[in-house]
Amino acid sequence: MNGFTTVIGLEVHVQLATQSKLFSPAPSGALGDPNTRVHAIDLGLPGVLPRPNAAAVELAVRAALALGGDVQRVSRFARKNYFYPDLPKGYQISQFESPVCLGGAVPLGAGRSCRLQRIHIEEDAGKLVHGELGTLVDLNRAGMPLIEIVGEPDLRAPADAQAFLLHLREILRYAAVSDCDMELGSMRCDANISLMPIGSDRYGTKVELKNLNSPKMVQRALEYEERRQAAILAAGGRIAAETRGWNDEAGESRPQRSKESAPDYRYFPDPDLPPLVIDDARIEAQRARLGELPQQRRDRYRSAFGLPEHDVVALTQDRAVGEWFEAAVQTGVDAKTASNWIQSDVLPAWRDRGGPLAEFPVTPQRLHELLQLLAQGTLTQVTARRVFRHMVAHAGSAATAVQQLGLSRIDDADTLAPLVAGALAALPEAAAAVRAGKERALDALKGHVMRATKGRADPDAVDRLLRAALAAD
Amino acid sequence: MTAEPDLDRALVQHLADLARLHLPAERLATVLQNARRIVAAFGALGDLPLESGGDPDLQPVRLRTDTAEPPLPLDQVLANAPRTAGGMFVVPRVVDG
Amino acid sequence: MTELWQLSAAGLADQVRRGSVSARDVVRASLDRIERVDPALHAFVDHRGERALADADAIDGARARGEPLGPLAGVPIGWKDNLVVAGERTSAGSRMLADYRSPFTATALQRLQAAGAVLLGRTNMDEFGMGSSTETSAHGPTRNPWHRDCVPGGSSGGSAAAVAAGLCPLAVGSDTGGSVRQPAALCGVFGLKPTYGRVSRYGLIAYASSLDCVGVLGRSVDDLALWLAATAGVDPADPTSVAAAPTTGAAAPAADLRGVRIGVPWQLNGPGLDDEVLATVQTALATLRELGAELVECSLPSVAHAVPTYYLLAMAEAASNLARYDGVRYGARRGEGTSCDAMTTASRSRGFGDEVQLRILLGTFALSVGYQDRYYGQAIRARELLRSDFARAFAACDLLVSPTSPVPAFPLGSRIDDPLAMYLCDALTVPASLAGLPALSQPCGYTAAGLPIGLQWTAPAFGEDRLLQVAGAFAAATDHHSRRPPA
Repeated sequence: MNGFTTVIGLEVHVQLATQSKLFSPAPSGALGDPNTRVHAIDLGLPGVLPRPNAAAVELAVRAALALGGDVQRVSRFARKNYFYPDLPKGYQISQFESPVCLGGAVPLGAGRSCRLQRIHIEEDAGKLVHGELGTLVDLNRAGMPLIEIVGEPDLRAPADAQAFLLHLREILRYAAVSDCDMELGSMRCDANISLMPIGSDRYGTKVELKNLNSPKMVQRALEYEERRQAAILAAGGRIAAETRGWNDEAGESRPQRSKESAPDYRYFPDPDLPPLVIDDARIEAQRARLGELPQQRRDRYRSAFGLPEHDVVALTQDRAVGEWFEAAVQTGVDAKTASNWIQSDVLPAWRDRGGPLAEFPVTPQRLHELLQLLAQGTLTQVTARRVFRHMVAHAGSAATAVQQLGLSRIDDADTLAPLVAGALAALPEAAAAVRAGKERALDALKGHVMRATKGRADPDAVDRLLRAALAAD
Repeated sequence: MTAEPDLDRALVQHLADLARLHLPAERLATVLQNARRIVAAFGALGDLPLESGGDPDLQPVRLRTDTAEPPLPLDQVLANAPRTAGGMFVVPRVVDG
Repeated sequence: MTELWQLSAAGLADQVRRGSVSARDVVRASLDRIERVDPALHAFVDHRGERALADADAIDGARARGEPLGPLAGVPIGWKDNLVVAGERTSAGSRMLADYRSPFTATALQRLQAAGAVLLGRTNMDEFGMGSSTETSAHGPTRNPWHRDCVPGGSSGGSAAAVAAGLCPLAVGSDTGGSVRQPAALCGVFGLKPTYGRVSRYGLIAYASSLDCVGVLGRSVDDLALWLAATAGVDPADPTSVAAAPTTGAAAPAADLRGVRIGVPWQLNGPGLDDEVLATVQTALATLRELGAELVECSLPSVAHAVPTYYLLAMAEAASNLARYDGVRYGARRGEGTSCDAMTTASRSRGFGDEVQLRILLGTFALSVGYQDRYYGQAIRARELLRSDFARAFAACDLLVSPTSPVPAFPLGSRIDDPLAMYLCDALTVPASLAGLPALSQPCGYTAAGLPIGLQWTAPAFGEDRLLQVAGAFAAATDHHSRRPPA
């Protein structure tokens, strides 16, 4: 911004992909009807105690490793005390002085990155619905396992914030830590932004932005806020420390509450929960589960397969796609051919179908068989695509699909000769044009034969027979 | 004896607000008097030169295997609720402030 | 002839198993005794009446079918009103929970039922365990069976009075800073606070999580041992419960105390004690010496700060633990038709009694920004010092001994308006609580006015068997425990 340096820091909440909640055995994941996924522990009933979930701890450790953070061998759960009707115990179990991870970084692309301050584990709150009768409380979400990833204020532009989120999402999805769906709330972002005069080393007054439901929205909201603050400062005004809610339809933010007096949360170690001790074996088990991260995979695809950048990016956006690609290459499919088929056929069909790619009916092995039929000349490019669609719909081998569709290539002259004659009879003008030297008119005649065979005719054979017939007249 | 914090009316009122307790004027005087006596009696502890020792005696927390169990049936979730509607708890309107 | 209500839990279970008496008759005898005696005492908040008899019938039925019966078969047990039982009311002595019914049962009670015990009724207590006299109960006070103008102690005063008056042979209590041991002393019965974590807290309504222990009151050491064997053990529902070697249960009491080194911490045996308490405990120490024990003078320097340390921690944890009572999901609601915030404030101000509100305020203070390090933080550090004091003491002796309470039972109303005076009643019991150690109180004599005096034993962590053996030896050599209050 003119005359100012923009300083942005993000705090991202990510819901961990566990079976049950952080401190109760109630199911996590989808929410369903109000208050139907609630254990006595989530209700904060008298006499209940938290039962910490090992998988939540392990996923937090995996996230820490994926982001290059320093996993803390000993950390502590702490209580954050405040009253709100969506918070059943009157405190949230979180981590304060002693989080599960310190440090780490999120890549921003082009060799840049944003440092992380910490990652901590905490439970989610319930949901309030404001109605005619008053406010309604649904506790299905209460106790869902979250990690909060706290970034350092290293970002200098709203576009960096979007890049941060896209990279973070990609990494956490690769690591199978979370599905990171911002629309569904399994990834949520708050952004802090301030402006300081260029050359200054003192941060300006921070404004916190909430209600940011996609990486694009984060960027838009920050761009708006950047302009708003710059205008106030340019006019000699003062920025109020406040929380603002973003309204994407209106394209503007509005103040939610003033932060001039910081709330006193009275954090203290949760006396129900002894220290969380994570030994090396548990850390190493998560490191082993981590596998290759997107950046490493992209480097490898460039060097090992010599693929163009566009293909590298397309194949690595989702961990499963890369795995499918590599399995196809393993069966002997040429890397670029596999990449082409994945981009033009596999991905669109998979997206239409939904479900995990591992359950997609055309396996890499079956694609390999299909491409062999193409290479052998049994199928043409056109019929191969039809066979592929049939395989998606009926989940069989390529050979079975070819049989069911009655689709082997026709190249014998006895079958094709009457069809060639038919084409010449049906399109006398085209035939005349070819004879007059207009080579391109041959395509219309070929097309007629191909249509008559539903694409099964061998293009070379048809070409040969047409030319012979025309020459013979 | 060090000076104890100014446990005055304003501070007690602030603590009551934090703890969501309402102290009527006639109670406030008694509470203030008791609180001052108790904090004064406990004050000596604050003056001890103690070093933090961490949590040496505590065993690590036991973790649960991640298995989902059936949740509480909705009628039991709501059984003790003062007011409900549509399977939810109803509270007077939340005023954000 | 000895009546059923006079028998020990061990004796009753034995008769039920042998078939010389039915579980129904045993439970009936307790219910009759409650009808007759409890109106003057108010040890029970209520009892399960027909439901308890139905449970007894189930045990008799099991016996008739030849099924094996548990070690507590047919034994009627009272439980403190802060342990939840599925479908039954639990109030923790508070207006806040006057109509609360839990959907689940506390682990300790579940284990007692599994051992054959019959849940008889819930006993009175100080509100949320916050008191040493059972006077802060929303249900009104309980009276001491030895002297009805005196308090039974607290906060498990109902359980202590019930056992002392023969309403039931065993009653479950909870002990945060002495709430089992002190009423046991004031009512002339045995009281055991196990090692922190030895008995699951799941289903115990929290007062102060790092200190709360489920404990028991009874009229014999054997009964305490039976109770401990039935309830102890790790519980997946309590992250602070500890897996320890099982107790031997009915540990054979040592015939004498030869070779046992008993530490006498001077800080717990002199300063601030009532003269009669001091003299009675001196006599008990002489008896121990006669039994062959070696008495060792020792020191627990940090005990000097135990009361403030205990109260700051307990109040801080309580302020947070009691934040769930907000009028939203359960509990008494006031201030409908205002804002949600105002409703919560009205519900809490009306639902909690004065002492609970005072402790919440002071606990909020101890945790609040600017004061936390000086109050809560110092208490955490002082607690560590006290733990090391105990560790040093136990390097030189097997157990520690002291009086349980600095004073015998005091008159109703005499301390209730002076919280600080009430807190000092716990001076001798809070040290073991802060260190998480097992401790036991047993009768060791009486004042001239006929009020019981208790002797407190403290052992290293998981040393319950040792506590029971030594207490058994002292009891075998004396008859203080067999005296009964006037009818």
